[in-house]
Amino acid sequence: MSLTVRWLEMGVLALGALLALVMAAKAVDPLYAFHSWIFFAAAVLGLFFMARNTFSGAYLEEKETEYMDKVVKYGVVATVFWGIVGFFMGVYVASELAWPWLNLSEWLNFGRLRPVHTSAVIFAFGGNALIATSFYVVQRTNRARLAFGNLAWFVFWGYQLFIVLAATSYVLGGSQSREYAEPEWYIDVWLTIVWVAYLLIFFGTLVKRNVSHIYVANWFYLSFIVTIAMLHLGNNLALPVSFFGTKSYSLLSGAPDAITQWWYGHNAVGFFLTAGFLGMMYYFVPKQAERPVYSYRLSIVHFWALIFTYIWAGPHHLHYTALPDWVQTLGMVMSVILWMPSWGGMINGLMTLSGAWDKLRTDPILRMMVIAVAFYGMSTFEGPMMSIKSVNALSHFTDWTIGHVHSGALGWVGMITMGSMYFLMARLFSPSGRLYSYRLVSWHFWLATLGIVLYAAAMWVSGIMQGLMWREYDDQGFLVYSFAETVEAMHPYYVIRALGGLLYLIGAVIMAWNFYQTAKGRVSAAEAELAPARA
Amino acid sequence: MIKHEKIERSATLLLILSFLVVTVGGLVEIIPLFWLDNTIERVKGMRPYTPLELAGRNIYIREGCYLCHSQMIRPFRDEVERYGHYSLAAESMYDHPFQWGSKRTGPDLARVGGKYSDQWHVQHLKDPQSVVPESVMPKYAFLAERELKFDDIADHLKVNVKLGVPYDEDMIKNAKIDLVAQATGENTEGLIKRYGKERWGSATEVKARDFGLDGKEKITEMDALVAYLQMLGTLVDFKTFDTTNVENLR
Amino acid sequence: MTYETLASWGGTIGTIIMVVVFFGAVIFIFRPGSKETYERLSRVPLEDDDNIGERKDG
Repeated sequence: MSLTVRWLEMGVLALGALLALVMAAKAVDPLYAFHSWIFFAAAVLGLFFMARNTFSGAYLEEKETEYMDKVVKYGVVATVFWGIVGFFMGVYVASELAWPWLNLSEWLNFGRLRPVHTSAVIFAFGGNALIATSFYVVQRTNRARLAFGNLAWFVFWGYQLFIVLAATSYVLGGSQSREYAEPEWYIDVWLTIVWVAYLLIFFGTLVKRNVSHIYVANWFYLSFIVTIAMLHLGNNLALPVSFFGTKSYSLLSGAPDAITQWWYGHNAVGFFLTAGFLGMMYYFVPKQAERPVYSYRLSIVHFWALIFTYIWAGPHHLHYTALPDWVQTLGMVMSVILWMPSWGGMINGLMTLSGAWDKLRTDPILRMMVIAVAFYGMSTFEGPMMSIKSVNALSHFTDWTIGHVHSGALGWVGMITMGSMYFLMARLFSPSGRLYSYRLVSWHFWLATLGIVLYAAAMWVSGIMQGLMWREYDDQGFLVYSFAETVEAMHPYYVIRALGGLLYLIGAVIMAWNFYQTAKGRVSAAEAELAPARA
Repeated sequence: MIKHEKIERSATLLLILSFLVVTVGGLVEIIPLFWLDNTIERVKGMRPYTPLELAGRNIYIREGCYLCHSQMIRPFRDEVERYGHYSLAAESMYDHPFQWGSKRTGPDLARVGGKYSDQWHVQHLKDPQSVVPESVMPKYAFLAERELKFDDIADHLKVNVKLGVPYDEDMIKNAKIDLVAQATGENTEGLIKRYGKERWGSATEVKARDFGLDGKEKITEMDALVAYLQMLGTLVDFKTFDTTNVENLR
Repeated sequence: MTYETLASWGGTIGTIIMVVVFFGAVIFIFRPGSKETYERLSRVPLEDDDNIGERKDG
C-alpha cells in the first residue's frame, strides 16, 4: 500500500477528530458532549497508531499475496470478550426480574440495562463474529485478500466504537425506544458509515476473486450485509431536535411506525441472526466435518426461499393490535411458509454429517455445531407455530416469546458461533493447530446445553402459565387473577432462568480460558499424549 | 434468460438480485399503510401532547418503560375487562415513535390515565414494592429529585410539526408557558384554550396540577412523567365511536 | 380500481406469481448438467490453503 494512501487516511482521521471537537463544543446535552469526546479520543488514538505504523515502516510487511488474517484474529478476541460481557448482562437483568433489589441505581435499572444486554449479545458478540468469520470465509473461498487495504481495520475499530457508544448511551439515558435499534440518530449515522465500508470490502473481495463461482456461504453473508443496511436505514429515519443534541423524533408514527420497527426487528433476527450465521454454517460445518455440504442444490433453493420469505414475517409481532388485519394475516401466512426454507437449511446442515456421524463422539467442536443446527430446527418450528394468530393470542406479551428468542439465540447463534470460534482459534492462534484442551470444549458444550434447556423450559412454563392466568375466568364470570398475582407466580421460573443463563456464562468463561491457553501455545498435560495435532 | 450460473459468477448480479428479493415483502406490507384512510379510524378527541406530557413521554422512553409495559390493548374479553376499550390506531397517530411494546412484565398502560391518584403514582414510582409487594419494578425515586429541563421544549414541538403533528404557531410560541401552567395548575386559561376539550372534542379535559406532589415552585421529571401517565388513553370519546361502522373495521 | 378489489385480487395474483417462481427456480436448479458444477462447488471450502490466487482442483 502506498504512502500517499496512508497520509490520506490519516488526514481523514484528523478531520474526524476536528469534527468531534466542534461537536463537543456545541453540544446541547451532556450525553452528546460525552460521546463527542469519545469520538475525539477514538480518532486521536487511530491517528497515533497509524502514524506509529507508518513511520516505523511496519506496514510494508503486509503483502498483497497473503490473506489478511490479523483483523480476523482481532475479531475472534472481540467476539469472545463481548460474548462474556453480553452473557453477564443477560444474567444480571434476568436476576433483576427474580430479585428486584438488584435495580441498584438509575444506571443499573432494568429499563436501561436490558438494551445493553440485547445489543451486547446481538451486535457486539454476534456482529463481531459475523464480521470476523465473513472476512475469513470470503478470503478463503475466493482466494483473494480483503479489498481496500486498511478499510477492514476501520470497519473493525469503527464497529467497536459503535458498540461503546450504544452501550454508554443506554446506561446514561439515550434511547429512541426501537427494540434492537435503540441507539440515537448520530450513532445510527456512524453505524451507517461503518456498514457501507463493510459492504464495500466484502463486495470488493468478491469482485477481485480468483475462482470462477462464488461459494454459497458468501451469498448468505452478502445478503445479510445488504439487507441489514436497508433495514437500518429504513427503521431509523428520524428528525433530531438539534444536530448537536441526542434527542430525535421518528419520522413515522403509530401503526406505520410499528410495522416499520417490526419489519426491522424480525429481520434483524432473519438476516443478522439467521442469514449471516447460515453463511457461517455453510463454511464451518463442512470444514470441521471435512465433508462437502450435503446438497449444494438445496443450499441454493434454501438461499432464495429464505431471503424472500423472511422479510414478510414482521407483522406476526403485531397480531391483534391496531395494525390493519390484512397485514397481520399476510405476515402469519408468510411466517408459516418460512418453516420450509428454514428446515431445508437445517436438513442440509445436519445431513452434511451423513456417513460421518461417528465424528460427533470424538469432536466436541463438531458436536457444538451440530447441536446449533438442531436448535435452529427447533426454534424455526416454534416460530411459525407462535406466529399463528390463535397461538399468538396466548403467547404474545409473555415470556414464551423470550424463551423462543433464546432457544434461537443461545442454541443456534451462540453454539454455531462458538464452534466457529474454536475452529478459528485452532487455525489462527495455535502454533500446533490444536486447542489447549478439547475436554474443556466438551465441558463448555454440556454447560451451555444444560443452560439452554433450563432457560427454555422455565420460559415455556412461565410464559404459558402467565398467558393462561391473564385470561382465566371463574364461574361467576370474573377474572380470577390480578396482574400482580401473575407476577408473583413467575418468581421461581425467573430464578431457574437466571441459573440457566449463569451456566451458559460459565461455559463462555471456560472458552475464554481455553482460548488464552491455546494462544499461549500450550497443550493441556492430560491431553498432550492422547490427541495428535489436528489440521 | 439469465442463467443461474451467471448469478453464481457475477457478484454484482448477486448483489442486485438479492437486494430486489428482500425488498418485496417490506414494500407490499408497509407502503399501503400510508393510505391513512385505511389504517387509521376516524375518531373524535385526539389532540397533540401538551408540552409537559411530551416531556414526560420522553422520560418514559429514556427509562425504557416500553420494555415491560405495553400500550396496546388487544380486542379480547379479558384484556378489555382488565384494561379498557381495545386500542385504536388513531390513538397513537401522534406518537413519534410508537410505544405499543412487546412484553408485559408489568400491566398494559394504554388506558392507565385517571385510574390511580397522583399520590399512588408518585409513591409507586418511588418505591413500587411499597404499593404492590409482588412487583419487580425498579425504583424511580430519582425522578422526583431531578428538575425537568425544558428550555428547548418549543424546538421539540417544531420537530413534531415537521413530522405531521398539528401543533399551531400559538402552541409553539407558548410551549414553555403552557408547560409551567400545567405543572403548577396556575394560569391555565391559555393551556386549556390550546389543548382543551372544547377545541379537540376530547373525552376528558386537559389536567393541570402539581402532578409530582413536590411543590409548585419546582418542576421535576416526576411531574412530567405522572402528567403523561395520567392522560394515557383518556382522549378518544368512545361514546361517539361506532365499532360496527364498516369504515372503522380493518 | 378500488382498494377492495385490489386487495382481494392481490392475494390471488401474489400466490400465483410465487408458485410459478418457486417451481421455476426448482426446475432450473435441477436442470441437466448442473450436478457436476454443484458437486465441484460444494468442495470449495475443503480445498482452500494458504496460497492466494492458486487454484487446486482435486
